[in-house]
Amino acid sequence: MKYTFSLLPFCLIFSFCFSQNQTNLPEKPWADIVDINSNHYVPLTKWSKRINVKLEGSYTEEDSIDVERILNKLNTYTETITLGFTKTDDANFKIKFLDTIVTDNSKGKNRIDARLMHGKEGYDNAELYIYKFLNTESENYYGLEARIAKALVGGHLSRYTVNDKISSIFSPFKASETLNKNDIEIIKAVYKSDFEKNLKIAEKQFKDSILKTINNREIAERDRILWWVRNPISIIFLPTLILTFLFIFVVGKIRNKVKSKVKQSWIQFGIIALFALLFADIVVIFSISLYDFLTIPDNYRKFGFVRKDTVLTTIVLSVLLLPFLYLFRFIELKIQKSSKTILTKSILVFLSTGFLPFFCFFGFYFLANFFNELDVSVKQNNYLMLSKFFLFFMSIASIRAIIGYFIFKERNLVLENKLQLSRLRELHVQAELKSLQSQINPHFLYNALNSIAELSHTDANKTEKMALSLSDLFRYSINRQGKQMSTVKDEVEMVQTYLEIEQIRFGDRLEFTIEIDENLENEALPMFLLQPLVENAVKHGISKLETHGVIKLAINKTDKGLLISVYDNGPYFPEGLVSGYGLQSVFDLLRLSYKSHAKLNWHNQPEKKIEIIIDNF
Amino acid sequence: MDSRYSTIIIDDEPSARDRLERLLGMFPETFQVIAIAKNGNEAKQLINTHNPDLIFLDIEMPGLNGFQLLEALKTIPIVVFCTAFDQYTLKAFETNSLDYLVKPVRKERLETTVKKLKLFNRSSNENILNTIRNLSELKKDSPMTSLTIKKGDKMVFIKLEDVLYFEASEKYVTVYTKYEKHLSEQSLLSLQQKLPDQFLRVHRSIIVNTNQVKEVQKYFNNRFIISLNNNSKTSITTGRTYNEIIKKWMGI
Repeated sequence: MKYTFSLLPFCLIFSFCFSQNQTNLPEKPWADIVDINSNHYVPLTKWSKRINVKLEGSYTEEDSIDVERILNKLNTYTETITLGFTKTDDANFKIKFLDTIVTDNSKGKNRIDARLMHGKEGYDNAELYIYKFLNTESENYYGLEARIAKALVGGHLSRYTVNDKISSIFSPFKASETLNKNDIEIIKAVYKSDFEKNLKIAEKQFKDSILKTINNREIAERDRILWWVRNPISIIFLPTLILTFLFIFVVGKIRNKVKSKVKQSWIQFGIIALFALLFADIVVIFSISLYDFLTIPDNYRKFGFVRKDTVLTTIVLSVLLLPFLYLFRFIELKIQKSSKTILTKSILVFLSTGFLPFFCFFGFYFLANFFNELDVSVKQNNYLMLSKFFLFFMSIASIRAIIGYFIFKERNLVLENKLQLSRLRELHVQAELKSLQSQINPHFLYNALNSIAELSHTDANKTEKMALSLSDLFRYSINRQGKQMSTVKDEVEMVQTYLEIEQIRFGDRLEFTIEIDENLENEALPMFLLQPLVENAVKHGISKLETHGVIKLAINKTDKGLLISVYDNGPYFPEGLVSGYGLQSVFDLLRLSYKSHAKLNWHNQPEKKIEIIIDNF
Repeated sequence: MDSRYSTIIIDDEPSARDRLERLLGMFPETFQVIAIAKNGNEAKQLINTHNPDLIFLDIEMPGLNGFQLLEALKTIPIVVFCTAFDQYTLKAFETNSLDYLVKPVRKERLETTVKKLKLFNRSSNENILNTIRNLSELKKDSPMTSLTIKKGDKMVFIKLEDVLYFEASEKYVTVYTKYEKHLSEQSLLSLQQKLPDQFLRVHRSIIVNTNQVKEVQKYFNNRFIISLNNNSKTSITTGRTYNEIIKKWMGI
């Protein structure tokens, strides 16, 4: 209202200077008239014909007299038309008196009071419903008067809110029950002959003030009434969330692809960050545009859904953000990898997440405030934004620090568990090794000693050789001191010793050859891997033959890995069940030492052999 | 009459043969070594030809084993077994007036044999064969300790003591151990024949390792529920026809 008053002198001077023919129309009633006419849907409507009134329903003679009095009064206001009773059937204004009793006016919102019908030149027919009000007689009279008067000019005021509490029959809220002076002026002005001309002038005159107020009021009302203007976030939330998840998913896929193709981790990060920023941009633009679309009233029709300035600012911000992301990543990595206590780490996370971004914003605003001579209110506004950002970052930092604390704690626990587990496993392996190692065959020993006992009488040299070989063999197998691995050379030497002992026992029933690739002599082999293999060949192969037995040990390198083969010409390997622990111990030792990288296999065709293949040699 | 026993030494190891020969040579009034055989076939021939009174027989010989050899003889001479194993102490040896020597043979022990021979009465063929049969049953197949399974180009060894049970399906037999399971192409029947005694067939398609059984519960229809020692506490429902066998195993 202040505005309109301050503008009024301007308007007066303005129209005085520039308008031609000029009378300035008085604000009352013309401001109101412009207001009423400004409504898109129900502009100001009036009658252009004679109004022929007819009474219907349960009316009394008093009602009839009242109506006549009212009509006479109104006639004095209306220059262009006349109102009067009609006795004929061409009544175009019917007043129906109904029996329905209404106690309280405000309750009758659904109650129809009047029906007014348009023709080409305004109203041409009307029906007024008069209920029985339990008011005083004079109240009834003035109420009737107001109602009939209202029927003369259609439309209502738009620029007032319900709080303005205006009293007029043209109020869009609770219509006044009495005709007041302003209303009379309005009716008079409407029914003057120069109404149309004056209306044009008035509209020019009051356009800015009235129409603007109406517009603002409409926006305010819209904001007040429409649910999606009051709560636009409820609409934005779900699509934004879905889009965000979609983009996270896509970024994840990109991450996998990039990880496999690009080796440098910081380039990887750069690419992923760019994509993530791009998608973040899209999400932000989408949500902002949607927000604007929902909340900005009619003007949205003038802009596209996506506004150029939104796009521009987000892109600029993203580009600026990229180096900061690198910085953050660097800091994060440093924190994660540092071996400080959990508490220190959490505090560092808090500091880095909270203060670092905040200082960026701070710097930005500080520069903006410093270099521009800005208005106090704008500066204050900037500080307000800054404080909001501060709060935001602090909350995020706190949440991150707390979560980080728990994650660090759990990781420590997991690490401890893993350490314990691997320690246990190591112990287990040691124990298994020990048990595998002490499996020298007692029968072998007995037989060898028996041979020695006998040979001592007949062949001193052979006895000596056998005794020494036996001691070598046992020293090798018993005095291990926890060593797990030996070399090809040492293992083969032991096999040779063993076979020499057996050869003395079996005589010419046993013949053996050993073929080793010279270059492999220093390769590592698990201790006591070969002897059980060869012993198996002797026990199940040669000792079952009556005649000449041949054993061959071959070690060479193939493209599959290290190949160890033991051939003999004894009876075939039986399928399925085997007796004796020799081969079982070879299998267990291979599994202990190489897990799944070594294979044991035997064949009966074309030659009988047992093979070990060790990968990655 | 020559109270010396005509003796044939049968052993596949040269030094064992030499030793025995030398030791027997220390008792010339008891033993007269007429031949030495290197293997079962040679032994058969020599025994049939020379008809000795006494033979020293190595049990662990390739080819013809002791039992098969003796079965193939018309008359069985006095047999003294030689073995590197010392677990085959059969009372039957002593009561049935047979003797055994553990390698490496000691002179003092041989003396005992010599003394025993003097009190010896030749047993019937029947008895000897029975004893030998029992002995060879004991020794026949050293107990199976591992199961081999071929998986493509490699082999897996499974200790029988680790096996919980075998279950047969249409084509294969699944071997269940505490932590793994494997597929074998052997049939349940052939497994049953070769597996040592602790493996009991309790169902048409299940053989269970009784050493891994935790408890046995009675169930409807002449069946039992056997719970095993593993982490997942597998339980096996037995088949009706195996009811008696299970009862026998449990000793009820």
